[in-house]
Amino acid sequence: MSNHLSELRADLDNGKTTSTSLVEGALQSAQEQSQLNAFISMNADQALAAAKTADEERAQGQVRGPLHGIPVAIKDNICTQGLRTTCASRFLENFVPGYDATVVSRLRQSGAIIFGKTNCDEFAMGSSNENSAFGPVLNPHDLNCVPGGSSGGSAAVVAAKIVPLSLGSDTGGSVRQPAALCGVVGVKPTYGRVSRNGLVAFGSSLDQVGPFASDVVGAATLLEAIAGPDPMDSTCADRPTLAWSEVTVDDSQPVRVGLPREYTEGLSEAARSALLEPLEAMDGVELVEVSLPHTDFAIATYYVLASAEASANLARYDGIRYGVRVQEPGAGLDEVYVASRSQGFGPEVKRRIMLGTFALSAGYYDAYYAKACQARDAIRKDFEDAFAQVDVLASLTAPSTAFELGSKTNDPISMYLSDIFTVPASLAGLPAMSLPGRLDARGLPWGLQVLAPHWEESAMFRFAARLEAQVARQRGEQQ
Amino acid sequence: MSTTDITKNPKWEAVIGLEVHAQIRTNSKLFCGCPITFGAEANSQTCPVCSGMPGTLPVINKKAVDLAIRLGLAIGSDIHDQSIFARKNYFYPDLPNGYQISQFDKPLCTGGGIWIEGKDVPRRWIRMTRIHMENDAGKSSHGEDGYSLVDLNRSGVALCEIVSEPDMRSPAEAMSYMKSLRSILRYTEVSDGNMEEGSFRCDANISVRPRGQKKLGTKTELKNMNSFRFVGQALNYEIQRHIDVLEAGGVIEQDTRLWDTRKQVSVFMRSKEDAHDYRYFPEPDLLPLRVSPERIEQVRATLPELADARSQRYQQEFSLPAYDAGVLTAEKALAEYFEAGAAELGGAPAKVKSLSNWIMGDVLRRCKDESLEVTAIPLPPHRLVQLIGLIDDDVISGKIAKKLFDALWEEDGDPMAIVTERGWVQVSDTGAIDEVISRILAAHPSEVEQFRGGKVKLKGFFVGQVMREMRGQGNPKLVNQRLSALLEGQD
Amino acid sequence: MSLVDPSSVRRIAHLSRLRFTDEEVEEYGTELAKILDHVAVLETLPEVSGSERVACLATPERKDEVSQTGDAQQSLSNAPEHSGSYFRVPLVIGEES
Repeated sequence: MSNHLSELRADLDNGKTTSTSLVEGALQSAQEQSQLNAFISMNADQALAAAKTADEERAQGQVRGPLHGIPVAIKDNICTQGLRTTCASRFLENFVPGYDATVVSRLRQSGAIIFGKTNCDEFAMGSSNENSAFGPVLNPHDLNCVPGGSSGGSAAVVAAKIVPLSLGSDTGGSVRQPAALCGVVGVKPTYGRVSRNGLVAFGSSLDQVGPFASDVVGAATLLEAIAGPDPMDSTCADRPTLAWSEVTVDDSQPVRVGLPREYTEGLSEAARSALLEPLEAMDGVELVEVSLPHTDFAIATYYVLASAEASANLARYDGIRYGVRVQEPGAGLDEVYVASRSQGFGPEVKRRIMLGTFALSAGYYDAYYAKACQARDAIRKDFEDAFAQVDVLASLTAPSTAFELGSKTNDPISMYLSDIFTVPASLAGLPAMSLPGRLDARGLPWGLQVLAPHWEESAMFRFAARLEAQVARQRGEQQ
Repeated sequence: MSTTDITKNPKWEAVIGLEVHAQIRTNSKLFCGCPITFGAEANSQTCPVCSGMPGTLPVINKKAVDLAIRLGLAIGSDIHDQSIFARKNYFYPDLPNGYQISQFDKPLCTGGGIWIEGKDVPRRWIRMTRIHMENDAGKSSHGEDGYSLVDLNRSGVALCEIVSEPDMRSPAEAMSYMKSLRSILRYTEVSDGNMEEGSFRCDANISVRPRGQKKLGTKTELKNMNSFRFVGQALNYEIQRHIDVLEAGGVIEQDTRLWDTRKQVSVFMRSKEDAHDYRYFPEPDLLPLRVSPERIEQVRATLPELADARSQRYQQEFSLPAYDAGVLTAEKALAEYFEAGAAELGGAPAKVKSLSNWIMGDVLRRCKDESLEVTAIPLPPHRLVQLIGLIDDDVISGKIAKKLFDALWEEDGDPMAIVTERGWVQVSDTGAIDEVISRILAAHPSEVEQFRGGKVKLKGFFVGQVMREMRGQGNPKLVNQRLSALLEGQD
Repeated sequence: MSLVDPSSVRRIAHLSRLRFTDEEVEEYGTELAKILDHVAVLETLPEVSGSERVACLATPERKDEVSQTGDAQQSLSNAPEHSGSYFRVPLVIGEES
């Protein structure tokens, strides 16, 4: 069964299927694959009702756009009105927002069907979806392995063909890395391309909502539906949304592709070949080695800045206006704060809050936070210099394919280090995406990352489409 | 508690700086579109943004920025073309985000100053350190035992924080500063500047040092002073407390203290060590605030002439005493009322002084008695001018003028017509007056003899009799004159 | 690591309104120290002047219009404890900030 948006659209247009049928199929598939633990909340009744409406509108010739009647799963850190939004945290296990995130209301307007809330790392903090208060998500390719994080659930539901599309969020790689580990397409747009209104904040200067799909054009179509200025988000830029859904493969255009030296040094043979095999075989592609000299600072910079912002963003979780409140008899106000937060937050969240608070605290601000800001500027400039020489950059998305559950949970640093290829693009605010490369010896997919200059999603999608075609060709050849 | 004037203390000098928080008069809150009407049901004027719900973001109110610029211009500050918002992080139930969005090392305005002047306060310039924008927090109040109740209606209202240099040297100067600043806030319509309603709040930093010493003493911060009077009391107390401690050989700790108005003492709240670590960092949900020179000029064009400049002008232009000028310019609406009248008088100093007296006296008194705002004075300025004209032309006496004033206050009308209607026209006909005087003198021969015999005080008796006979409408000056003439003349 | 001795961990925990057992304090002390060790690479970064790019951005400003009808019901709909239309909390003592 195809999970490509374009094929489902064609089937809907031709009357071969209906939205209701798609949603029923998705519900059944979710049920059959419930061991993936990819969903935290389901909204079967509402989804079916929305599908019915979509079918009726279609019958009357009112098709709102390419997503009309298509089920889209939503990561559980994106607010959905009337539908529980937990951020995979005990703290918000009963929180029901009275408002939609901007991206969700845009999806509804486009006729898409909001299909369930997907599991993720708590408050989007993690790289393996093992930090969820609702249990880990399993990788559909290998149930002993992680799907990646933090948007593990959103990646898994597309990989498992439960739904064709989903939304996740990417702060340091949380869409791209699970896309890579699950063998699907995941996009982090330019910072400011998509509204953050209703996305529960983690690292405010880094967070972006990003689409998952089974192919490049599907992801581009979903991005086109949600992008664009929003008066509710001061950081969402007043930039026009382009017709990325119309991206085609055009091998006639020459393109210069940069390979950052710092991202290929020390790669295993298998890893290196997964990256270079398709690239070297493409026509009209000139591969150029470039350097991003401040790459070594990226992880430290990211963890200081993201944690600092997170420590303030999570201060609102105090048990006063919503969320878990733990109040022993005779407890004073401070006690309520401490007990509620200590019981409501998991260990990784606490770790990041502590780190962030430390980095901002009196006497340490200059050494940590201020320094990290300077490093961020340097990293940004590295990319500017590189893009003066090339059109796009390419790398692996993650240094390895999916790893086993529990294999990195005892060593946070080792987990953080696996973000090395994705974090710099987040710090610089660049658009970046992951698409599936070839499979490794265990049958697990490699992810290939494409980066473009600010606001150049078009260039990024154009090259990604070509790379995707090349990977498909090579896979066909291998079979 | 000593109430002696610290400026006269030969041994010690007080150093005072004030930090004022003024609510800015906008229709909606600083970072969201919630309304700000008072007395609304608790938490009915909140939205996900100002109640700190997950996923919400701030977007700044343009009018609030314009008003902050206007205030900065009125105070002569530098308006910075780029300023940065910062998170000030602390936990409190009335602060829903767990941080306030404020400005830290790059505020909107720096520098400037205001004049202070008052009854016992010589005219002096007080420098301003900075003005920045920030959002207000909600309110917590005592509920049933053991609980507090939190209302977030006020959370998110726009504030200006206005910080002075430690230039004040006495509680009187501090109070004069507050009056001056409040006047500017009201004149510019930036804020209601009302302490009782909470749109004007004041914290103080106080220290003392041996007179003549340049180095500042250790300061304490004083909070919870909820009226101008309390500020004066609290400062007096705290200055004396510093002096007492230092004279006893003790040391002042850099504490934050609360004013307890019932016990009339300042109470320890927290020490410097316990001071909050606010962990300021630039607000990532907002971009830098940019203010162009064009925008500053546009706002500057909307500035009214402020109280101090206006007061100086009245003293020059109308030769009014400083006291009068001060009273008339205390409120812009009153100043405008006065100027409307002065314009009709063609600016003649004596007449303008008369107008000033009537406004400072009868007009303001009736406003106070009837709890009327100056903007609601029922007596238009030109009527007051006409009334003054009638006095000047001897048409009515001073006493009648008071009656006419009351009549016009109750109901507008043409003063001359009223005076005629009610038979209030002053009798200035010498013949008529002489006739009455002659009758009175004839009716009281023994008093006349006593007067001529030296009892000059009896003149008052005759004046009274004549005026009564004339039903108060005798021109008092003329009556006096003619009485003198006739009493003495018949000698 | 002297950087993250127990009293520092407790101070940061208090600022964060989090509570840890003595064991956890030690664990966090070690973990944080490891992370901070890694983050110490930032010290080797030479002074870099501020990015010019950010300087041209300006925060959008909205019109001063009331756009919410205000709804106590919505604000309170997830409240753990409320009294009428107020949020209810244990007694708040004294002024804050």
